[in-house]
Amino acid sequence: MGITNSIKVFSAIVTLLLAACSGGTEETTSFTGISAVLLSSFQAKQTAGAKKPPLTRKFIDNLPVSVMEIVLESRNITGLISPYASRSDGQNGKINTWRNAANSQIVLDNGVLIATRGAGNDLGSALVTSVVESVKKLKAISGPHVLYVSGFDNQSTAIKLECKMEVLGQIRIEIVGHSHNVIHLQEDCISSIGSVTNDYWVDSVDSTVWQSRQWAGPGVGYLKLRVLKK
Amino acid sequence: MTEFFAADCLKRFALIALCTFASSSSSLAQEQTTFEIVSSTAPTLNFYGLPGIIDMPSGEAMQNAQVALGFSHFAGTTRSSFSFQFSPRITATFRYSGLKDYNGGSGGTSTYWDRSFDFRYLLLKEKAIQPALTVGLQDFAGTGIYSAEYLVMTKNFLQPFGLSGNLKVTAGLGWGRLSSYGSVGSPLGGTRPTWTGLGGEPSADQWFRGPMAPFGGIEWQISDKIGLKAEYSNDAYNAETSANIIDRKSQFNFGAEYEVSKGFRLGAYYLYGSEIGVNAQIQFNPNRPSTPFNLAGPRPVIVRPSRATSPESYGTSWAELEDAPSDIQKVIGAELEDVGIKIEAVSVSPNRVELRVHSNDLTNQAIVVGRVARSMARILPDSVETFDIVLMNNSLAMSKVSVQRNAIETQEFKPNASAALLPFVVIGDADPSGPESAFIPQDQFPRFSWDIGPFLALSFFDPAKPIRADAGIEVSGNFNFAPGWFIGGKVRHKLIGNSDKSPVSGSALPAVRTEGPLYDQAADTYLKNLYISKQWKPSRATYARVTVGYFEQMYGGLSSELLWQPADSPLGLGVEANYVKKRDYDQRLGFQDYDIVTGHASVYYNFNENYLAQVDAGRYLAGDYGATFRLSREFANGWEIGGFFTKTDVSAADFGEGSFDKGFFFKAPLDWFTGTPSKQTIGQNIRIIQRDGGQRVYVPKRLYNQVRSGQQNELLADWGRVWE
Repeated sequence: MGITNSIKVFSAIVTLLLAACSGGTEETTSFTGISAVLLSSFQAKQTAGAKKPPLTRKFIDNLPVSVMEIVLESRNITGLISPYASRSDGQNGKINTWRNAANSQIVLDNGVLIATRGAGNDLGSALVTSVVESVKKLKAISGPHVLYVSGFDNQSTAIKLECKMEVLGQIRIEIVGHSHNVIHLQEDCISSIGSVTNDYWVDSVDSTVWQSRQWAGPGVGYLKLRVLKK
Repeated sequence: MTEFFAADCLKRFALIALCTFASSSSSLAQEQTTFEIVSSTAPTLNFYGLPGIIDMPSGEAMQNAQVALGFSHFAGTTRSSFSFQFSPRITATFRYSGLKDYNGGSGGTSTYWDRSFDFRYLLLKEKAIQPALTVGLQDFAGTGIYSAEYLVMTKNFLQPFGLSGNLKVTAGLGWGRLSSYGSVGSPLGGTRPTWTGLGGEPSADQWFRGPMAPFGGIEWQISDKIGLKAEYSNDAYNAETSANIIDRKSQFNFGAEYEVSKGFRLGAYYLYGSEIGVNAQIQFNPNRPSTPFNLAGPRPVIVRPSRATSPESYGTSWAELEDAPSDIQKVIGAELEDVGIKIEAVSVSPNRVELRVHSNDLTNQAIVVGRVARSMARILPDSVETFDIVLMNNSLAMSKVSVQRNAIETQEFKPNASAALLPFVVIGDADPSGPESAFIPQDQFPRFSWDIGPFLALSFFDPAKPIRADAGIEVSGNFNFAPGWFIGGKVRHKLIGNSDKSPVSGSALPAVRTEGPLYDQAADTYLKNLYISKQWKPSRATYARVTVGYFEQMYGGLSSELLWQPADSPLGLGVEANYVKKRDYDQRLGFQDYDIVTGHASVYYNFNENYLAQVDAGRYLAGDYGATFRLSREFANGWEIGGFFTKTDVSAADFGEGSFDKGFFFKAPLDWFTGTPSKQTIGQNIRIIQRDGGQRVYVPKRLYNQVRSGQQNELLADWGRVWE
């Protein structure tokens, strides 16, 4: 087949792909459905680069709900999340689920990351007992930190981190115009796939984790979290 | 799409500001490169598309499940290879090679086309001191042009002599073609029998016989991007030299490679003292989705108050209410609609509720179980302790998954939460239908779908054209007018293509498949299929199907099937009987005179880690008797790669070129590429050569593939996502 014919074939296929349509009560199984999924995926990626308005204290104070800022470092994405669900951890603490408008979620056990949902290759669950103890008691308690990540052929894969918690001191941090007295806890971990450092800036009075940088596994990477409005 | 997201934002948050911010985060969707090699020490490919140096193999295996595509060219020889790391130690390769001006060419062209298979086994894995050691069979069942065997070892040295990068050192011994230069004797046998026959049969009598010769080389991966290679080859290229398509002056080859992106590598080489060559290497792993599967987060589980603090909420009188099942269907159905899960039936008792559900979008049935269980925990009265979730597909109850409500409430945030839930789950057979008292929504039928779009039909390995293709427009419809009853049909109109140019090869058997080109020539507009089928469950572990109509391009008739496949068993047994007639070439409604009763008894076995084996024994379309053996590796995300062969009572001489029917196939789920839930797949069945022996009729909606996604083996493979 000559190059002219090849181009004709390609053009015919693309034209048909774009012109294809389907309907009914059930999902279709032919090429039209495939093209629809591919096009929707393309459109979703096109919207990812939209510009954000500036983040100001006035803007934050006008929001009617609690808000946290989330940064996915590996994907250079910044967004806002709000509380979705809360339950007791059974030990005078809280497990809170936060989500964004697209219903991607993170779950924090007393401010410590234990799950992500809707991010792709998510953190399914985690063992963070010693980290939560450190946050609650504002002192360094070292211990295992295990991440159970999903993805990779739908299996839950354990990533065992051997961690050493350290108190780096009491400092004052500012989050968009609000200051907080915090204890800076730093958790240095090693694992078979490299080293990880998690940081927690914890309120020196009520153990609120105002700010943190936590690793959610190889799929999601590091998350930076800041409580903008409690 | 944009409007949908905007409305969703407003509905859920009523906060324009949040939506604005969220639009930049989208759904936190991840961009990830499709092709990924694990590390700088991962093996690169040689000119045969296998782990190796330049023209010589190396001793390493690829990462488990890795797929490698290789395209090399030098001295008028083009090799296209498909390799699959079937298990951590086993590598299989299919190769299609074109040698210009060799052996008189094929199919009236100047290029000689050759198909070959390789098999490699990793005997020793690399350790601190121990090199990796591999034994390989090259072109072990073809026409023998590349026939060779080898034992080869490779050792990696990180930052050798203080230099940057990684050095691989390879040394090996070869037989056959890989001993045609520099032989050091014949330690395992004096003479190597010459190849005879029609090809396709394993040439075991040749393996490791005759002269043996050493080979070796080095590969220095200087940086993430650049690698250098040098080797000593023991291949004299005797046949090619005789045909004057290569002027061999040296046994030393040199090359440089550049990694364009992860998993995509290009190389340029100087071979045999006279030739310039190029090699393109692509590697990816089905375990690493091109775009991670992504589903918007679930609704939170609502935890009941304890019975001690709130005994009144545990009352059971609700179960007596006539409207209870329909109310449950409405409220839970509304929640599940977001993820495309539909409720087919509801049955209630004070402590137990059964929902029969199916999903149009989600292949992963563990997610279906998780989402349904969450909604049940959110909505059902507190007295309900057990959720029975019956997974349905095309009105067939695949399994019943019973989940303890207490576990849904308590295990989600435990470490290793998916495994923590499993002890509270029982997977078993489901009754064919719910109890008579079950509430069945009245608006379920008819279900239908229609589709107008393009089609692309490929055929391979015509001696004159390696790939032929037809493209055009296709109209299809599926009408599910009652439980288990389907009418399906597909009409195609070819706009462009060259499949009708394929020659019709002669056959000693009835021409049950080799007349395919006559069908391509007879009509541009044709009825691809049109059938009516009924499928049902005669008992808890059996499934049945009857289909009448035009099944495929060449055959129509009556087909019946019975499958025994308990939900918690890796073993399945099936029988299928068909009476079929050969369709007219124009593929309208007429038939030709040829008819036959054909059928098979089938054994299916799902090994650990989803290696699937299938044996079908019976009578084939040409009246030959025999068995088809099929082995594949299926990934939980839906990828499947495998091979098959059929041996029947037809002799190799009557079968013709290739000696017996064989081929390989792959199936890739669309959501692997897009990350968006979809049950659609793309795939291709590739026969090495199309003959008439060992051919089966293609019947739509065979049972095994309809029911296994909801059964224990596949559910457990998917279970890591149950909380998503």
